[in-house]
Amino acid sequence: MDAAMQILRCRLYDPRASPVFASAEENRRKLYDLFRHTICQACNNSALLLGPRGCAPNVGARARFERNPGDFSGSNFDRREDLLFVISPLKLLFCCFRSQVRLNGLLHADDRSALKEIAKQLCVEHELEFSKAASFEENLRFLTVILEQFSLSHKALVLVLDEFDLFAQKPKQSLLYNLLDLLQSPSSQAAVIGISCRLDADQLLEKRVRSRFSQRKILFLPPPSEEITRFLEAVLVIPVDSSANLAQHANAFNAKISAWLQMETTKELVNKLAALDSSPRNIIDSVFRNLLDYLKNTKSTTPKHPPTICALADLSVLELFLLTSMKRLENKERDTYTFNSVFKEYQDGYKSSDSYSKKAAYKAFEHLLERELIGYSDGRAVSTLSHLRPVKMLISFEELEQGLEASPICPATLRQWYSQPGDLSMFSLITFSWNVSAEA
Amino acid sequence: RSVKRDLGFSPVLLRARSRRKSRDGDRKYVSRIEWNDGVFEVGEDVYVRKLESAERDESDEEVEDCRVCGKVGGEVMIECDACLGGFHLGCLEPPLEEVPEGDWICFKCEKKEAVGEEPSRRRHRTARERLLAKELWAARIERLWMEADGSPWFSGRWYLVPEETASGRQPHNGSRELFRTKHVDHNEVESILRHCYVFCPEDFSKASNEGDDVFYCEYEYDMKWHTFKRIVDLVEEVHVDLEGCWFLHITQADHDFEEYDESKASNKKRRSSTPNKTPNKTPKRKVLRRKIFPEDSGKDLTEIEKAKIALSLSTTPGSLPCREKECKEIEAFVTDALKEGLENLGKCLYISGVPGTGKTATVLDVMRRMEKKLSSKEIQPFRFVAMNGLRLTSPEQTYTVLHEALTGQRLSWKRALQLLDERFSNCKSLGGVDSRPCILLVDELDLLVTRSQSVLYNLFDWPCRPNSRLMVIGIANTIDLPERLLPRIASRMGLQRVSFSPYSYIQLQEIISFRLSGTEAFEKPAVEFASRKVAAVSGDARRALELCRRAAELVECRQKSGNLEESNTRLIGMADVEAAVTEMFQAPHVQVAMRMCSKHAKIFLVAMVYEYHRTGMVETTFEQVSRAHSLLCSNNGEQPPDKDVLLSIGCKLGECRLLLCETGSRHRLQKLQLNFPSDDVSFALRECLDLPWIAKYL
Repeated sequence: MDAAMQILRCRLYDPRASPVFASAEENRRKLYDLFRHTICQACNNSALLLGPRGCAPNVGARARFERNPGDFSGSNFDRREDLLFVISPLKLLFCCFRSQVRLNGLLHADDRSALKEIAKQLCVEHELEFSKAASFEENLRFLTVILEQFSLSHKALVLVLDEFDLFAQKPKQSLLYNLLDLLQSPSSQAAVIGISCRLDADQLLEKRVRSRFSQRKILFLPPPSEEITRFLEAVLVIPVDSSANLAQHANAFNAKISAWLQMETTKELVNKLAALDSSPRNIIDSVFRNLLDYLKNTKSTTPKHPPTICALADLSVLELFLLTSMKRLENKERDTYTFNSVFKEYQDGYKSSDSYSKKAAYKAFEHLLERELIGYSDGRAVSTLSHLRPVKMLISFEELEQGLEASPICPATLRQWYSQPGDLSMFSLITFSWNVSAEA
Repeated sequence: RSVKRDLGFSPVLLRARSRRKSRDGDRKYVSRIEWNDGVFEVGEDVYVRKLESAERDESDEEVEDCRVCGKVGGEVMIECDACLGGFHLGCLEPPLEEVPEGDWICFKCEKKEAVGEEPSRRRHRTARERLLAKELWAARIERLWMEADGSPWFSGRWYLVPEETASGRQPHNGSRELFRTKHVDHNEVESILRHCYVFCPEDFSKASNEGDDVFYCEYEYDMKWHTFKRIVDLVEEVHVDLEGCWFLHITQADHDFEEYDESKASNKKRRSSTPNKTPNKTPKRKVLRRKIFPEDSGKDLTEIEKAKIALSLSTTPGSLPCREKECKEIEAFVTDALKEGLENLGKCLYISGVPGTGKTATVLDVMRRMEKKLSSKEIQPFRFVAMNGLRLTSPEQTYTVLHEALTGQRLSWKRALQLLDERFSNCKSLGGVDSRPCILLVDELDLLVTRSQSVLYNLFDWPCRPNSRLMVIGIANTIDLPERLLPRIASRMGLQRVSFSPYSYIQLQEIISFRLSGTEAFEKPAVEFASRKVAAVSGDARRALELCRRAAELVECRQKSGNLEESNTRLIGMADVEAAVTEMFQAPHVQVAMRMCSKHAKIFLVAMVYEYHRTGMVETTFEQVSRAHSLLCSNNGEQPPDKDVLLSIGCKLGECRLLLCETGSRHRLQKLQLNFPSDDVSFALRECLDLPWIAKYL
């Protein structure tokens, strides 16, 4: 049982281990070729892997090296969780010829720290002493020399730049220039791989950098919807080992899974998910919860409402009143409004004995701001005159209406007030009468 | 028989090299040799005797004698930091209890007495003194091997004492400083005297008890241009331990690129022939071992593989075709400037051209030719310093780098600027190598533009001073860089220009064919097609080469999966180049990505187009798009998604840059815009299988 759990857990959480789509398989082959050229033929390459987030988790598959697993334990070539790849069961044993450095555009903010990180990772890998004080220039020289040494011993360096677009948005792009320039020198054997979710990432490069970039682009895309069921099956079905005495458990589990996959509700769920976002990561995340409910025979734990409606349903009565006043103001074609005008609308429009004070209303107003249901529309960060700053409602009317329906404490009078048309303002009265007279 | 240390590129060495090549097979490489009671390992530093006959026993002293009592050994000794003489602690006046912290100067030096003469006794001289007096040499063992006849040999990288450099001992040189050279010679282990220890400066300052044979080395000295380069000290630890012989040629033929190419090509073939070994390695040094390629063994390269290697950007071609004119211009500039003799006024040259037109390569090629002329004494000797604007930490770093290259001393940029300023104000007063003219190559010159433009001003002002003997060659992409600078800089640097125009298709074709000569992988029209394609866009040679390489890769890829017999004979044709062009330079990505979106993402895109056609405005808000989206959905029997989900769909499209959008927290007010022409969307989604109704909205 533990073993089965282990396998499933691996597949679900470790993208390296999960199965592969056809298109991803193709991409993996391309990458494999690219590395092979770099490592065996000393052709330096640079490539960009592009694709939406969460879209290629299964490009990676654990390499099964049959001959000598110990020697190649470090050979899984993986990148950030969704764009992983491994040089899968290769006949070529080139993994030991490769050393690898990874950078992330979010972590290594400027060119200087990025280069320092490269030097550090190389130092750690080769048990060298890393000096923190080294400057950009010194680190660059270090990189050049170590690349020379690598190429002499036929060791290729693979540099992986995650969030490549962030590196390209640096003003001078000196890191990219230098890395790509190193690839031009005969005394280096390296590949630079950029990973980005921006499809136009290569357009960000400066001319002289783009000229040095070798223009390989590999596109990772979500699988077509027909493949998703097959994919789920591949993820969830565990291998049956006939020799083990737990084979019957495995068989029982697999039967249950296939039954679940055949169920109408499951198919419906999968179709719905695929219509929204068919990236494997998203599907695994959502389907897995559902599967657990099914296996444990518990009721569905998915929330009844989408998050915005839930947030609205949790609001206090006064907050709902304020939102409704805003809606009424917008109906009166008032594009912008401030706290004061909203409060006035509330006081004028809704006349009852238990009206709230302005102070209480302001607190409620601030709370709405915090929950980002409304927002200032002037874009300034701080301002002293917060009563007079223009605000905007950030939710749509339909959502507000649904929220009022869903709210357990919303008084009936408020719902009524919501649907009641607002008093016609002076302006609309005039235009109305003008229209009438024009027709006459 | 004398030991060979050949610091010029003399014919003797070349002969030796060729002889070595033929005998490579008989050698047995080891990482450690025991010889004459000493154990020598790869990576260790040793003293080398200059002459075999030198009095071996005269002073094989490991210990130094005391300058006062003349006896050796006994008590603790202290070294004077000025004259390097040794003293027993007890022999001093007054006697010292222990070794003091910091520098210590002996009484003789304090009294400023002349040190060298020793009156009564004939002192034994230590190896260190003999080294500094140039009677011994020091080297680092790089490789050890047994020749076929059983005699042990080593290849050593030489160290120089400051006196041996062209500028002589300078005031900032330490008394135990050595310079590493790029030069490696082969000698018998017999000639090794014993160990010495060369540290990097940090370790040297820490070293306290290693005896007399400690030195430090901070710079590498370039024998050719007489420039200094700081050593990356970390790398000394990465020791490459190789059995293959090709490596040797690479290091030696470093600057000799015809030979280089040959050796590079040969390494490809021989990659698998050597056995795996390394019996013992030193614990600290990381040894990178070569392994065997099982697949490649015994297999020669196919035509396509050869072509790919030839096309690779990292392959240095023997010469640069299609740049003869520019080459001549630059050469003329350099020779003219040098010819004017020591009184020359110095000159500036500005080279411009789009990337990938061979600017830097041409200049370096000219320099190589000059170097040949230099060795045949056709022109007067000069120094050459190259730097790249994008490799500097800051524009001011230029001064530091230049000064370091000229003198081997690292200073802050302000101090360096001051010294350089003095230096170029009057070069006449300087003697020796410092009075030689200097050519400075600055790549990516535009990066040195600062707000006050002082760096550029200085760089171009120095050559104009009398007797500065400096020439500056600046390289940048823009043709009008001088005009964009302050007039006082423009007038100095804009006088002489060479402009590299983008390659025409004929030139590109020539370049590719030149690289491909000797291989039969490409059809002629294919090469022409590729060069026309590139010339039409940018005229960038790198691009053209990459394009051809990609085409070769595609063919190779197909060969592997397909039929081997028919493909081995096939050449790379037009269709393959065409495929590579579409893959590399067009952006079908966008349409493919749109086609592969989820269903609602597609509807979202169509809703954007719909809104665009309805309002005529490029920019819309999320509110409007979501309204259009739900309209489309409800009219065609689709279940409209929640607003939250829709918002995240929009944001995801924005992340891929199919849309341009504000952050999702703006929610209803979020502004959206298509990043591509709306025609792209219509084209991509017109024949969409899961949403057949969508076409009528496009």
